[in-house]
Amino acid sequence: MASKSKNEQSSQPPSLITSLPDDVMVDILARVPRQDYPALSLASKQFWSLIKSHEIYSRRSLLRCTETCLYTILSSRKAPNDRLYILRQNADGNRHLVHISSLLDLPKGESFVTVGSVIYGFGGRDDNETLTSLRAFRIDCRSHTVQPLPNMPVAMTDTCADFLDGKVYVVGYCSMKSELMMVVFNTKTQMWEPRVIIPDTTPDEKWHYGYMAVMANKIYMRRHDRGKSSVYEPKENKWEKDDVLSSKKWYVGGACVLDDVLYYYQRYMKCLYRYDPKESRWEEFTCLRYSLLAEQMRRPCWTETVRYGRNLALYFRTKKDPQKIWCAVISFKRSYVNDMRYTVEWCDQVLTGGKFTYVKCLSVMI
Amino acid sequence: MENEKKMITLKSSDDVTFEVEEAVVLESQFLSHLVQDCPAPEHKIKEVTGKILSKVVEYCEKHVVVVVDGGDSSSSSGDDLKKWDDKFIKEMDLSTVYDLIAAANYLNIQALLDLMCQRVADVITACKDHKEIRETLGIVSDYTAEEEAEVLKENEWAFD
Repeated sequence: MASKSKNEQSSQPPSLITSLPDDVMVDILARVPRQDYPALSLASKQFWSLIKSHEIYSRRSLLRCTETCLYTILSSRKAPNDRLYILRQNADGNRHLVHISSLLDLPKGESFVTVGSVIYGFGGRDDNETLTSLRAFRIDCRSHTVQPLPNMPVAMTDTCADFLDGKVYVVGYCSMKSELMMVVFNTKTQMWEPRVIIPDTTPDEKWHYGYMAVMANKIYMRRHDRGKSSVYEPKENKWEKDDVLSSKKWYVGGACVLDDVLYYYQRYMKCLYRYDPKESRWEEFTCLRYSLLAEQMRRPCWTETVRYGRNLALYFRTKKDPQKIWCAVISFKRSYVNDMRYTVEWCDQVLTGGKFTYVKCLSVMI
Repeated sequence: MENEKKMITLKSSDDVTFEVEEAVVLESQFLSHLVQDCPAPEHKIKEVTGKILSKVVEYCEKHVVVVVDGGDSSSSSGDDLKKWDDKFIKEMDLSTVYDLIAAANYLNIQALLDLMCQRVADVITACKDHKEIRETLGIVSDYTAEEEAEVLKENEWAFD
């Protein structure tokens, strides 16, 4: 059948989107980028209630429409609460960290981990508390709301956390017993497991703000100073060492994991490295279009990396102007001569100033 | 050898008839069941008008897997189909798109439903703000000034 001539006017009134069943409306709205949800919410009450529903987010994942959103938590010593920011591209094309001003009661957290669209926060203290903390909470990035969670089973400090197989593992220093401990939070039941895991480490290795990464069903931990990288396999409750991984101080400048490979930006050398535990070796990247980054990155005093879809987001501050935050998105691939190369896709100054003492960057799926 | 193609007649709510090959009807889950359960030569589809049914038939005829004489199964190549789909949706006003969505939903033609839902989503995405969304989709705001201010406050981060 041949197509008919266009815009055939019928005597019937035109159909409206509101005449469609809710289920179909969800299907349509799930395909709209998340950045447009606020405008949609303002358009009508029906849209607003659909966007607040759980269905729309499960449909987004069913349709593979979930997006990576980059969030940042800024903490200031004097302020009673932390502040949550989202990285947003303005109409002018520039990207900025925008404060989520509706989230007023964000507690101070010490370590954070994201699971899907939720940021879990652990530890942290208000000024009048003791060093260790039992605090646990979750930030729902769909609604930008925060909910307290049951207290951690052990009060800890210098915590770090990561997620594996439905569980968040939080490791920290328990000053009362002067030893490292690991506690486990089940994200399905939203409850702490009663067990406390004692990491298998030598006593002279001080913890003091370590770093955790999960690769291929194992948890890799590294102490802040000279310590070795410990590897924990939760299924068999087994501890190992990884000397090759330990050969680089991969906590400095932040590392992140993509497809079971650790990516680590070494800020002094301004080098990007990757570590594949299957091959047990470090590999250094060659940078393409380095100049774009080099100008700003001459003297970074702080860096952090997070996964950004198939790419890497590198946040940094410079010694010259430490109250400004930059973000560069880096893509990478293996070249025909078998070396790893990366390209800076864009690099923007995302925060032009502010008083903060602590920055945590997080990648959230919505 | 089934060289002779079985033809089926579809009749719209306003009694417009379409004679189509059985393979075309099988693109719709709803019609597949209907044809199997009730082997009449003509099927009335009360929920879909002739205008919309003609679009549905046009889409399904293009997307059907054609059995050619040699017995090979083939359909239009992916790129061609995509180009055709783009042209198909561009010619349509939103009112027709909604009717087609309702029809695809009722007749259970997933690919057509996906195509049309994506079309509306793209239209929404192209709007620069909530006012343009309202205007484009023909929505009248049902918010009071206070309610609107509240939603605006909740989503302040997204507005310049």
